[in-house]
Amino acid sequence: MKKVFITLTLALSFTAYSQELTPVYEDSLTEGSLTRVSSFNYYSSNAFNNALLDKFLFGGAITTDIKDQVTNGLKRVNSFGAEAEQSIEHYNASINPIGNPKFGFMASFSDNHFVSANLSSDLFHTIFYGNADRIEDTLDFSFSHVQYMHFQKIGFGVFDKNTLSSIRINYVSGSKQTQARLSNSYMYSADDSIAVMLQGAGFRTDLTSPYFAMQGHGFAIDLNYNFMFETKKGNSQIINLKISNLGLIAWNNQTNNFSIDSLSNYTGFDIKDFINQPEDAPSKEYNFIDTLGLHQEKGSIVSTLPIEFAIQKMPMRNCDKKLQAILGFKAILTSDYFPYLFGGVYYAPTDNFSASTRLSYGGFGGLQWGIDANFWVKDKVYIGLGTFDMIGNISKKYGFGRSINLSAHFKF
Amino acid sequence: MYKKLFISIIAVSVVFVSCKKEATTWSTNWAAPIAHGHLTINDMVEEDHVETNSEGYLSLVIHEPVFEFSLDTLIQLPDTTVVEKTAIGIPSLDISPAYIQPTMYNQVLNLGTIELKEVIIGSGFIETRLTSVWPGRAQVALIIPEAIGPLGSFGSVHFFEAGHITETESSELTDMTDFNMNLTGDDGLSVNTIGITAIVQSNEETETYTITSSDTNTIGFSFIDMVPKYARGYFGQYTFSDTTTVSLSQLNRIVAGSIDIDSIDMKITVKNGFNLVAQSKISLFEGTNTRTGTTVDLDFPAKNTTMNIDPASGGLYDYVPSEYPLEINNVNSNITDFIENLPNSAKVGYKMDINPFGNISAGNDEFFPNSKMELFLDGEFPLSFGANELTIVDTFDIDWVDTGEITPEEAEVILDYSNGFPIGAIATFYLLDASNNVLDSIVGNSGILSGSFDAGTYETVPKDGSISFPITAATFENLEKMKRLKLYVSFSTDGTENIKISPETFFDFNLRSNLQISVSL
Repeated sequence: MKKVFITLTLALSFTAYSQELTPVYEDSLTEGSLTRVSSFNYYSSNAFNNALLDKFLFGGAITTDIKDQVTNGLKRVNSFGAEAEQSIEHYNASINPIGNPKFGFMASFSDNHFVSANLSSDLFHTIFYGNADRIEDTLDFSFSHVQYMHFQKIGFGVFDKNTLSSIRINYVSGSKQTQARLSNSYMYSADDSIAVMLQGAGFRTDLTSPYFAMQGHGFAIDLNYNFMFETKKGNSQIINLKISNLGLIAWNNQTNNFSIDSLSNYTGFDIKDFINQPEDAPSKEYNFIDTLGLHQEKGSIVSTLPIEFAIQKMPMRNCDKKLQAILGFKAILTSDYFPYLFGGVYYAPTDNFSASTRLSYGGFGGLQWGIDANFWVKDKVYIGLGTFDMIGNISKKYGFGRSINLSAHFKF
Repeated sequence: MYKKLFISIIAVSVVFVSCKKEATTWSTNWAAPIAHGHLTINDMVEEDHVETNSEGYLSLVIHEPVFEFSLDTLIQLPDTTVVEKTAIGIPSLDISPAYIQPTMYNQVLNLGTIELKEVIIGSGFIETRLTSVWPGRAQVALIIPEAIGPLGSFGSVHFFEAGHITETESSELTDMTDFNMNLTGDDGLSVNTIGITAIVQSNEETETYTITSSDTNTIGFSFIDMVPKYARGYFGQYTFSDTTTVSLSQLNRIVAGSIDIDSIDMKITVKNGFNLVAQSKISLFEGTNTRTGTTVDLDFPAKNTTMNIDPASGGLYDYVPSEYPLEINNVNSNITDFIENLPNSAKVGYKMDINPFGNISAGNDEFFPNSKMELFLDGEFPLSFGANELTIVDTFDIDWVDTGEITPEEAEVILDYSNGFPIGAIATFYLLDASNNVLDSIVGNSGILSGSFDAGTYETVPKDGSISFPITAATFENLEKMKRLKLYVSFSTDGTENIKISPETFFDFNLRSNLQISVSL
């Protein structure tokens, strides 16, 4: 058991790849340096199609047709999520930070946005249709959730020059976060009353600007391990194991913390509260929000980063086979994210060009089709462009998100 | 080359900005209650003003003074300052420690035709201010023996150091509340006269000093805001008369229709809280409806008749006002015609004489604490009437509230009701701009139906109904421009006969809305 633990620990102690399009294992980096620039962006949903999401991104009127189309596809869990990571990594084989010539030095910077949400069908209905058609009915909001995080990571670590496995420790600068989660919550509408039961909690960091608001500080560990082996037929294979964002952020004491646990029944104004009142009677201004019993206080709070776990079979650039299989699994530790599975083929017709295509299912969305293309210039420059959601990129009706990934490597 | 490509890719990666060109909007429909209530007659009229009459239905009743005046301003003791100078009438005099010089004199107050014998002060002060130029120490006391307070007679004692060249001065302020002052002077026969005693004496223990006839001391006092709560004397003759027009502004709101009243029973009582004789006469009481141009002169038995108002009886602590009742009802007057005319203006002519026969009380008129002359109205207005499209209009200033990201598009306001009143109503809302121009109107699809009145049992069977007030998008635009809201309500009673309001009458309602709103983000 101890051996297994040590082996696993060592295995997780080597990482190289940040989030990017289907990574291709190129070669070891025994001398010189390598700089990688990556832009990894997607939003995805298992229920809200692009016709709806585009209206939020680009503006415009959400018509009844759009709402009806989405309503017909709503499920028990209606997820929406997004990630946007812009990163730069630098690997230097000439520096041996731990005195072992097998390991080189790496440094990185990334800017990360993360959105994770889940709307109950009734909450969607309430927001987009109202309650007029649900009189004498209960609209269930339970377990709806929304989370937005914006943070930056500055990391330093070591990498294995042969496998590009790495471990990196990051300082995390928290820019902003908003989070809210409802538990047992509902709204019941009748002709003469509206009852609202709300249980939930959340918090919101104080500032919404500037872009780098620095309202929290934390740390994160990124682990990556490339496991190389040969098949019985003597073919080299690489399994990539990755754990990212293993850390937390402590937000400052100006963070607004909310909690609510109330059952409110609104029946309109009682006319007797307003007639025959003395002239000096206190004014009776009614604020429905006030009656909900929302408790708010300022104080620091610690939140975990969206921990990501991935394992995948990577294609190898120098493989003598033109076709290679790719497959993998990814999970983000948030309740709105389903296990993400993918599989596909990698095709390298020439030494300088390759392309891959894949089918995936899970995550924040459903079934997705992805493609990407890779181009090398004299083994010094690599450029890759791809998407994990080609249907989403081209279809409003059938697409449930969009994805675009860009990556470039430079060897010096 | 690599460097340029590297920088280009970084630029493309970083500049990944989406630009939202217009707001995201959508429409939602909300059903929400606005207001509700269970209204009875007691919610519309104060409980003290409603009672069930002998026939088992409701009457409006009034028991309250409608006009009153007091005499306290007439008999107020004016702010008065009196300064007396004292000196010896011989060239010089040795003042030993045992020397005392008392002086008594009467101070007459100028009260015009009022002749007061006695007052009890409700509030006010006397300030004494004395000076001495005697070359030795002196003591001067100012005493009003017949001004008796809780601790005895009023007295103010002042002590002076040796003056001679430099005048020494002393002052003191005394609260005169509850002092009983006899104003009949030393002889007990005068009026408005205060008997004063001044005592000047040496304040030396052993020394004797000499004063001359030129050593003049002053003794002064001032009445400050002295208001009696009781007075006795002769208060003089006064006549109050006027013809005045009273605006009944509440009735200005009636702009159409008519009302039919069964009966009214009123009693106006003239109450005299003073122990003096008075006479009064109402010479004119007419009401004008300026909308119709109709004037009705109210006739009642006491009109143009001089009424002798007897003095109050009893004494200072147990006085009882005299009362002179005037009955006005639909038998002895045209009061129903007067009310049915719905006057928004009333002209009243009256005359009142105080002590019309002079000082017949031998100077024993009395003003008691809190006493007043008043007209007290006891009225019973049975809620038995008929209304034919009686239309009331009222205008309210409105500030439209900015709704931010939420814009109302269309709405239907629904009034569900159960009307137990035998009165129906039709309401119309007019939206006015700052210049009172009508911008728009909101009209319901029906009126409030009256309950069904049973003339035999006086009971009303409630009528249930629902009224829809549609508010279009154009109306919402006008609501934003609106500065005032004018409400027209036209009331009609059930059937053709007069109805009666029973104690169980109620109006239940539930006001709710179906509101289509546009959300803009």
